[in-house]
Amino acid sequence: MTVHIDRKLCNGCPGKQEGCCEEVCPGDLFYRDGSSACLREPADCWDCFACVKVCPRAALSVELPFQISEARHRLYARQRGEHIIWNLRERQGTVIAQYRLRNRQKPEAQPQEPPATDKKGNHD
Amino acid sequence: MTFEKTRTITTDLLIIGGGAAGCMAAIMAKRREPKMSVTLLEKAHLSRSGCLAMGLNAVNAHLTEGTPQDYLDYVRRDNYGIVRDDLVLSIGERLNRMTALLEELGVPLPRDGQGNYIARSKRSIVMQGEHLKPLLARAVLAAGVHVENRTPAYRLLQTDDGRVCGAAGFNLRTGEMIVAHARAVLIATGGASGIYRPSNPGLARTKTWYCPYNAGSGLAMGLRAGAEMTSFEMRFVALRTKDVIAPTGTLVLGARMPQCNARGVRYVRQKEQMLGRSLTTCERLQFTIDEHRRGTGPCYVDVSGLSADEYRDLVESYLNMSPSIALDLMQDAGQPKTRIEICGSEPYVNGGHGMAGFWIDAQRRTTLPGLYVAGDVAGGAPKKYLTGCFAEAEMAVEHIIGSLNAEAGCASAETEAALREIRAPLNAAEGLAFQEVEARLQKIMEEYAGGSTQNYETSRDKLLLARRYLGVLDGHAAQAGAGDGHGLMRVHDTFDRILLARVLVEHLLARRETRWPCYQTRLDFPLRNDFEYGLFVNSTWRDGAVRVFGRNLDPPYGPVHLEGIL
Ligand SMILES: Cc1cc2nc3c(=O)[nH]c(=O)nc-3n(C[C@H](O)[C@H](O)[C@H](O)COP(=O)(O)OP(=O)(O)OC[C@H]3O[C@@H](n4cnc5c(N)ncnc54)[C@H](O)[C@@H]3O)c2cc1C
Ligand code: SF4
Ligand code: SF4
Repeated sequence: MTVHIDRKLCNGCPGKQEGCCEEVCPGDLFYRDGSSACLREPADCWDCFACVKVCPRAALSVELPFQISEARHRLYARQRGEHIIWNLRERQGTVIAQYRLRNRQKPEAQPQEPPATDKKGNHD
Repeated sequence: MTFEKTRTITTDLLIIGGGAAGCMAAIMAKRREPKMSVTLLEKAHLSRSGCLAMGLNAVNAHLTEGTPQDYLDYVRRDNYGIVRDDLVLSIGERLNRMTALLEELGVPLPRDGQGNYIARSKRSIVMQGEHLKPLLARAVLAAGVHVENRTPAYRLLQTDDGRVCGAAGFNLRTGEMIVAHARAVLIATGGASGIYRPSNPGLARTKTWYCPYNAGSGLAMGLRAGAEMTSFEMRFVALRTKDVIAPTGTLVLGARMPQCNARGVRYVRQKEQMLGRSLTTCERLQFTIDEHRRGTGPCYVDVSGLSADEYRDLVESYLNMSPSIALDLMQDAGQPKTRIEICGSEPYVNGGHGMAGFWIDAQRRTTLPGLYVAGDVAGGAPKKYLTGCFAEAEMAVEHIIGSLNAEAGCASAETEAALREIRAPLNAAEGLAFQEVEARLQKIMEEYAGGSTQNYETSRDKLLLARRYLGVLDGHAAQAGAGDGHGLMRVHDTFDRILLARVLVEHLLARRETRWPCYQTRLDFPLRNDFEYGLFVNSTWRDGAVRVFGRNLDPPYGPVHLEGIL
């Protein structure tokens, strides 16, 4: 397992041409099947967390492959204003550790809403 | 997704690759010459692509003390005398100004009570760079750059007299072929990973240090168009934490924790005391491998000396750059890891940490008229890191602005041929799977060209086998097929990696000495030979063959005939 998709939370980013995860993944690994995001090939994932950070539904997390970690914890990330909040959780959901880190100087639009996409399909 | 339609873009400046160097070049070009049209082709999405996707936690090239000349002296010493002094110095002179640009972008650079940046070393400061890439991307759009996301380029276009006048690729989302005609072209596609077998097999195979989606296509495009390359034999191998392959600088520089072997002996300090000097970057790796060989491995960074707060700082610092290591460190949450095992990564072709890349002049012009490069794709100047990539982007843009006189336009026959080559795998959808070709490539390189399981060592006869097998593979690879846009991209990435591997093997054969232990070790020539090999090994690719030759270390870098391989 690398990126874990919580199918109960993922709503497929309705109304968007691409899911937010699909849009940002540097490896082009996502596709959408109906209203759910899917990974083409989990073994191609770099664990870069780009998708985790932009998912408006917090449906994504990273779990190390069993091969290199038997703990099976999951790491979540969310943007909050000028900060990013990291949550390290056990499989059952109990938070083991939380980190709140400043990651920019000026506040930007929060990615709670799907980020505004301009005509060319670009957004930050 | 038919890839039958072609969309043509005409622009003044075409930038291929929107990572550190490409984004900065685009921003600077628009800021300085607002009337110039700038188009950026990005393989992934500008907001999180390339090496910066995860974020960074340090500005690795910032002079907290010393002069640009001191920086050059350090880089030259660390590289055993072989660097392009002019390129390194020109970077050194601009580094600190580039750091200031980061703050302007909105990237937090923490300061101490006196208002100074927090130094990790003489040449490195702390950065909270998790959001660096989205901030860069935002600045690119704000500057009015035309961005084409999900548009990898795979061929350069040239006029009849050889000037580079554009590039061809395709858009993964719209299913169009894309042709861009330009008055100047800048390649900033980064270095190459995936040429050697990754450290982790199976489901963890993509946990590489270097961005696994950087296939070195810019280098391959340049080679195909006839550009000269330098120093491919100086592969970059990173000393990294085992399994998650995260950088160790955060531990050794950031947290100042000691490196020790399995018996707790601080072997790095011991060696430094013995030699009476600090170790070079490749010695740190070499002595780590030596401990394994001696039976005193594995080696660790010992973080048991950290207080609970300091440990938290360490994890936080990693979250800004290589977050998944938090999962590794905190496997047993009650008792975080105190000894972090370290290992060497798989080798990469990289001009940002190492020195492999395009052969360029001080203006970042390649040997092909009209073609510029910046960042990890540019050779001759190792240890440039993020700010060095910015500096190179600035230098290239300054020259481009001062010399834009050609008209945009390319020979159409050539454009058609390029598009045909790019589309070809779609006609072979039933052909070989790129995964199989890639696995074969990585096996050959791993076993015969000094991969990590070979302690990075190789020798003439193994390299000759690599040469032969790569030739055979190249023939078969032409049958690799793709069923969709993603597959088409992956097939071309694989083709490009094979080409780079072939050039790399010729470079390794040509340097008949051991110059940079681990980066380039020839078991059959175990010593450094300054007399014969105090030179650059350069190459070009023509008609399906690599031509390798030497170049003097000093201007005007005259060519030197290299003896045959025997
Ligand atoms: C994990 C990691 C951590 C690092 N940490 C630090 C640090 O803390 N401090 C520091 O100073 N440096 C650090 N570095 C080094 C620094 O990130 C790189 O030197 C720098 O990003 C290189 O910039 P670049 O523009 O050459 O390549 P990249 O930033 O990788 O950009 C290349 C771009 O080109 C695109 N591309 C590739 N192929 C094509 C194609 N065919 N067509 C179109 N686009 C293409 C890619 O998608 C990507 O966007 C780190 C590097 C890595 C890998
Ligand atoms: S971004 Fe989140 S909600 Fe949207 S498709 Fe991806 S996983 Fe589903
Ligand atoms: S972690 Fe990165 S590479 Fe992996 S699926 Fe998410 S965005 Fe893609």
